Amino acid sequence: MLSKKLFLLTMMMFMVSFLSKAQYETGTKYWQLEGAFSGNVSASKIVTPYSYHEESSSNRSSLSFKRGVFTENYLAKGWFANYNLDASTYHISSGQTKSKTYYHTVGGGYFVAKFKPLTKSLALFGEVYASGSYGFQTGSQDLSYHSFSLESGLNVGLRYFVNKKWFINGQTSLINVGAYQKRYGNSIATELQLNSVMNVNSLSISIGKTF
Amino acid sequence: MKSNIKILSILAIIFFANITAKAQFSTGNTFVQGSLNINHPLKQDLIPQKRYGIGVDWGKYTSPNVANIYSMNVSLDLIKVTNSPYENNILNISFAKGKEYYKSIFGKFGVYGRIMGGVSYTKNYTSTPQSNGIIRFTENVGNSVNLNLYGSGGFMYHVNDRFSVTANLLNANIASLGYSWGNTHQYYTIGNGDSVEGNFNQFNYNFRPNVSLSYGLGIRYIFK
Repeated sequence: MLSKKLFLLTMMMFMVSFLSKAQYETGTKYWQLEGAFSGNVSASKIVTPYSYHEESSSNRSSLSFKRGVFTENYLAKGWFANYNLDASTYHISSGQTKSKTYYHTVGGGYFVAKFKPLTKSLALFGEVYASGSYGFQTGSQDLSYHSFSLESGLNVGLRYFVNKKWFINGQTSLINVGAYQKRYGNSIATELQLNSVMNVNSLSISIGKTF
Repeated sequence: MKSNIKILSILAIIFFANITAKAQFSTGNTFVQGSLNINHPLKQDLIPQKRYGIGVDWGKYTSPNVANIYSMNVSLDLIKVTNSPYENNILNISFAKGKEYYKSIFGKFGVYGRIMGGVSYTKNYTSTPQSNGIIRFTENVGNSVNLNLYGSGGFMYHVNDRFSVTANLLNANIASLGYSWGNTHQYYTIGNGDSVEGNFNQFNYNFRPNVSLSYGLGIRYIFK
C-alpha cells in the first residue's frame, strides 16, 4: 500500500515536470507586454477675499515590450524596448500663466533569463539584463533637457501560465547598477548608482504569450 | 532513527492526503468572515489616536471551488494633538463584490485567490497649524469617491466543517478611478478673524498592476 502511494506521488511529480517543460523548451518563443498609466486632473479656486483659480494635470504612461526565445531548455534570450511619457500642464488665472511639459524616455536592451518550474503552471525565474535609454523634453517651455543612461542588473520573478500559451509575469529588480547623465542647457549632472533590494515587497505585472 | 523519522513523515503526508475529501466546500454553503478594530487610548498621549473599524465579508459557494463574495468595511480614525489646532479625522466606507477561487493542495490545506471590484467613500477633515507667521492654521474638508479593482490571495486551512482559517499573503492592485472635492480655509494671525476660502476638485486614475506582500489571518465561519 505504502509503495503504491509513493509510486503515485513519484508519477505525479514526473507529470508536473513533464507538463512544465513544453513551455520552456528550446525553440519556444514568447512576447511580453507591460503597461502602466496613472494621472490626475486638478482644479482649485480661491473664492474669498479675491477670485483666483489654477488648473493642473499630470499623466504618466509607460509601455514595455519584450521578446524572447528559448535557446536551451529553461534558458531564454531576447530583447526589450520601452517608452515612458510624463506629461504635465499648469494654468493659473492671475498673470495667465500656462505651461505644458512632456518628458519622453525611449530605451531598449538585451536579456538572458533562466527558469525553474515550481509546479505545472508556475515557474521562478532570474533575468540578467543590460540596457540603455535616451530622454528628451518637449512642450511650451524649452528647457533643452536630455538624459542618457546605461544600466545592468538582475531581476527575479514568477511566471504563471493561465493556459498553455498565455502567462502572467510578476517581477522585481533585485540589484542594478547604472550610469546616468542629465543635461539642462549647459548644465550637466552625471551620477553612478547601485541599487539593491534586500526585501522584495512588490512585483510589477505583465502579460505574455508563447508561440 | 533517521529512517523512523522518514517513515513518520511519509505516514503524515499520506494521512493528510487521505482526508482531502472532507476539506472541500459544498455548493450553496454560505460563510462570514470579519474583523473588528477598536483603538481607544485610556490615557491621553500627546497625540491621542483613536481608531474604530469593522469589516465583514459574506460569501456563497456557487461550486466547490468558486464563491461569490460581498465585502463591506467602515473605519473611523481620529487624531487630535493636545493644546494645538492639529486635528485629522478620516471616515472610510467601502463596499466590494467579487469572486473567490479555491484550490485544495493536500489534506485540509488549500490556496485561494480573490478578484474584487468596489466603491469607497472617504471624508477627511484636517486642521494644520502653520508656522510662517501670517497664516495661523489651515483647515481642509475633503471628500473622495473611488472605484477600485483589486485582488488578494493566500492559504486556507479547514479546521472543521464550521471553521476555516485564512492566511492572506498577497495583495494585487490593478486599477482605480477616483474623484475628490472639498474646500480649504486659511485663517490669518492678523486682522479680525480674516480668512481665505477656496475649493478644489480632482479626478485621478491609476492602472499600474502590481502584487505586494500583505500578511493577515482571518477566521471564516461556514453556515451548514
